[in-house]
Order: sequence, then structure tokens, then C-alpha cells
Amino acid sequence: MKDFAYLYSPEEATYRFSETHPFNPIRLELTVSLLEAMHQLDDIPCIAPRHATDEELSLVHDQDYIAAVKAAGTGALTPLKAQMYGLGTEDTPLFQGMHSGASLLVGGTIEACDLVLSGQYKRTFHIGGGLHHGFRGRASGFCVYNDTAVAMAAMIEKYHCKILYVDTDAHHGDGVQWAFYNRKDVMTLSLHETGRYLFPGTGMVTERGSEEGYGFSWNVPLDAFTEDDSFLLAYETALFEACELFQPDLIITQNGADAHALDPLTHLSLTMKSYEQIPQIAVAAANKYTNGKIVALGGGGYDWYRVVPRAWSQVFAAMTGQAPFHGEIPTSWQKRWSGQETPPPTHWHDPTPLYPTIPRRPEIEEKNWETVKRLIWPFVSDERKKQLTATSPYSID
Amino acid sequence: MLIEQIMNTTCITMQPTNSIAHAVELMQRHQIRHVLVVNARHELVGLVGLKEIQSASSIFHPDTAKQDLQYPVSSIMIESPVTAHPLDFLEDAAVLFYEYRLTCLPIVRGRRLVGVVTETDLLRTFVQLTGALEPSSQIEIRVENTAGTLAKIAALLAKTNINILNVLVYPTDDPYVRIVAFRVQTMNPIRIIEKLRKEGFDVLGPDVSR
Repeated sequence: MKDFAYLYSPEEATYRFSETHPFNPIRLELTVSLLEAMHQLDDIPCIAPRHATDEELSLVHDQDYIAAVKAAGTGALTPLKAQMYGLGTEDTPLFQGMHSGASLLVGGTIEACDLVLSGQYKRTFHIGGGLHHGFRGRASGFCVYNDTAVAMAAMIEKYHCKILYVDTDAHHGDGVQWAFYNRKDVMTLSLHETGRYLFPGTGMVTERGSEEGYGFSWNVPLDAFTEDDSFLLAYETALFEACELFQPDLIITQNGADAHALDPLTHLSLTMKSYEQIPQIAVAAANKYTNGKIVALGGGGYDWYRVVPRAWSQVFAAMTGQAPFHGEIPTSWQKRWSGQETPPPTHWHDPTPLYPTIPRRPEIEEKNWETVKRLIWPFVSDERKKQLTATSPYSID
Repeated sequence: MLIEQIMNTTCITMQPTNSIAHAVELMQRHQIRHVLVVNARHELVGLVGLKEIQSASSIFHPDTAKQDLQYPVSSIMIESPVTAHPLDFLEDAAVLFYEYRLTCLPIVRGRRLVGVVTETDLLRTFVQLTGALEPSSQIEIRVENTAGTLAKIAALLAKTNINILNVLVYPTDDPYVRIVAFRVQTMNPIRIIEKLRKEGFDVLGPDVSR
């Protein structure tokens, strides 16, 4: 078994809504070119995604929705009908070849999972995947098809395995959660900003799953302005407890990079410190619970130049078994991407301080820890509760 | 909104001559807290809830408890429960729940039972009314409590291609100030917020100090 491959092709840039739309495939090019400049891609196999078949898509999506997406990409869909499917909206405007672009991202994620579960690779990274808002019959939040949900459904059919899905995008991973809400072969764990102001508004601790799936839907809604330490504590605790409970065969991570303080769409305050650690911790969990089997995906992230390429390169670092990249960013890359609205970053870490001190910090940290406790307490032993309480800096009880 | 839009039309019912034990069994099997009692013509004759069941036997006399449960349910049921009509307003039903401290409201047309609304249904409906169950971003605007304000905001939103799912107006401590909360169907409300701020609206958002 080989260690690692990544999935990418320039053709994935065909999933593109418009010049100004926040979900821009330039993010993929920025990341791959940064890894190239680091000479990271020289000996690493790159596998080009294939298109998902209609049969695969219909494991999750409705037939009439797939037909509508196909029609939408050729201009054959009436505006009224498009609206019914969430297409032609501000978030998911129509574009030429929508079905082809969207199904290519799905195929990439299916392949990424299959390469791992078939035993060819231990770890894979599909940078263009992670479109977690896609619904059964409706486009939502920049997502047309839900690549992850389709891939998981396909893998379960083929390998009868248990998959833990871990989502650190700033937005709730609602599409994936609802697709498997009543199933016990997929567990979803999503950390995100609370729905008080942010899309999609769901992802409360009380959304725990239904029927057979009860207990296998985990949500950690974090307060606005949550910082690195509080995030990482919540993430690491919830991730390892989820693994203990669920004993997965495969971990899939969605690595949205929009919880960063510089992201224009959200109100969380992470820095690169979190994006160095998130994938390292995920790989450690995989080593402990799934014989190292892990698939990483991209996701959100709307500061294209400063945040996303660094965050996703750090995913690459962890997936190839390296420590996080540090020090200066190659000047060749900086030069290539200069002249943009925001100048490219010069270092792997963020300048300090990146943002003014947050007066509410103690309150936010305490609240987030209470949220983690509310989530996991029903599932952990009294002994473990004592351990967690003793090591947590925020516990009063 | 009318009661008939939110009521359950499949009701779990029993006859007055059935035993209390049967009521207990129905509650356990269907995971419910009330059973409606009807006669052969499906007319509502009573209601039995957990409280009535609990009053039927004593924990201190376990020897007779089993026997007690064999009495007909008519011996413990509420004989003329508060009811509502399917065409009543949801708001009126909510007031009934509040005033009589109800947990279950049978819906009756003529004398026939046609549905039931429980406090759970009512709460679910209120959650739905806030729009919180559909993917959306929330925008809150602090406005003066005067005529035409909502129209001004709506006109601004209409210029974008963004669908409004829901509008709620909250009171504040100040009678001249209200908060209007919009749920809009987009992941990227930045443009709308900028537009509103440019027009002088006080758009609320997460606050670092409060």
C-alpha cells in the first residue's frame, strides 16, 4: 500500500459560478502552485478526477434534480423551475456546463475514498471536494451536488464500512448531516459558528440524529470570535470521543478554511495555528482508530490569497506525514500572485497580533467548553468525565 | 394559520369501556402522553393523559395496582375536555393552551373527533414560523417604530436576487425601537448588509465586547 496521493485537475475549475462569486476555483490553482513552489509535488502521484455517473449521483440526489441541473447548464431550465431547485439564485447562479463541473467534483471524492478503502493508498486529498451544503433535491450555499454524501453512500454500498465525517468549515455541514441523519453507518461531526447570524442557521447540539442514527450526529456550535485554543480544544476532544464511540473504518475530513479571522463571510477568529493543527490531529486520530485510513477534502474559504492556499497546503503536509510547513513562503509563488487586491502572504504563520484583543474571550471560551460538554457528556463514562474536567482550563464543577 | 394546517389527523383512540391498562399500553406503544376516548360514532367523549393514569394506582399498594388498571378508562378520563375547531386560528389555540395550562387539545367538528394538537405540535409550528429550519442567514436591523420602515428595507432587498424566507419583528426595552430580523436565503449576505448600512440602517451583528 502506498502512503498518499492527491486528486486534482485543472478541469475542476469548470465548477465556477462567476468572476466575483466567493466560491472561486482559483483557490485550487493557488494551492497547487504553492505546493509546486515548495517542490512538494515532485514524487507524489496526482490522480485526475473522473465524472460521477448518474447512477452514483442518484444514491443521494433525486432524479428530477439531476435532470434540472443538466438542463440548467444548457440554458433549458425556466427561471421559475430553477428557483424550485435552488438554482439560478445569488448563491448558486446558472453557468454553462454546470452538471459536468459539479459531477467532476463528486467523481473526485468517490475516487479519493475508493483509493483508500480498496487498499491502494492510506491517505488521499481531494482539494476540490467538500461541498457540504448540497441537498437531495436542492442546491444550497454554493453547492450543487454533495460530493461527500454521494461518495459515502457509494463506499458503504461497496465496502459495508463505517465512516466518520469531520467538518471544520465555519458553516454547519447540513447537507451531509441530513443525508445520513437516520443512519448508523455514518457519523457526522461538525464544528461551526453558531447559527445566530451565520448561514445555514442549523447545527445545534440537540440535532443528534434520528431512529437508528440517534447519537451519530454531533454538532459543536461555537460562539462568534472563537479563537485558536478554544477551537482546538473543542475539536480534539469531540473528534477523539467520536472515534471512541463510533470506531470508524474511515475518517473523511472537510477542511473549509473560512473560520480564519481574515475570512470575509464569517465571524470566527482562528489563525494559521489552527490550520496547522487541524489536519495533524485528524491524521493522529486516523492512525489510532482506522489504521491510518483518511480522506481529506477542501471546502469553504473565501480569503482566496491569504488564507486558503496556506491552510490547504498544511492539510497536504499532514497527509504526507510531515510536520506543518513553517518559515517563509517561496518568493517565486509570492511573485506569481502579486498585484492582487490582497498581497499574498510572506510567511506560513500569521503576523501577531492578527486582530485586536477580544474582550469577551474568557466568556467565549467557557461557553464553548460548556457546549462540548453538553454534546459529549451523554456518551462518556464518569471516569472520562473526571479526566476531561481535570484537564480542561474552563471547568468550574 | 388555521388549526387544520398543523393538527395530527391520525389520532390514537380507545372506547370508554376499554381498560386503563389498554390506555397505558397505547401510550407506551405509540410513545404518546394522551389517548382520546371516542364512542362508536367516533364522537369525542373523553381524554386520558399521564396524570389521570398515575392517579389510578398507588405506588404504596402494589398488590392492588394491577387490579386497578382493569377498571374502564371512563372511570378516570376527563369527561369534557377543552376542544377546538379545525378552522380556529392557531393563535387562539395557543391562548387556550396558555390559559387552561393544556398539554393536549382535541379538534372536533360537530361532535366528531377529527384531529389533535399537542404542545409539541404547537412548539414545532412556532420554530417553523421563525424560519430557523431552512438554510438561511439572519440579518437583524434596529429600526424606529414608525410606518414605512419595513417597506424601505424590503425595497432594498428586492433589488438583489435574494429570497426572503421570513421576517420577525421583536420589541425592545425602548417602545420607539424595534428589531426586524430577516432570514434570507443566501450564504453571502455581505452585499445586502453593506447596502443597508449605506442607507443608514443599523444592522446588528456579533459584538466582540458584549
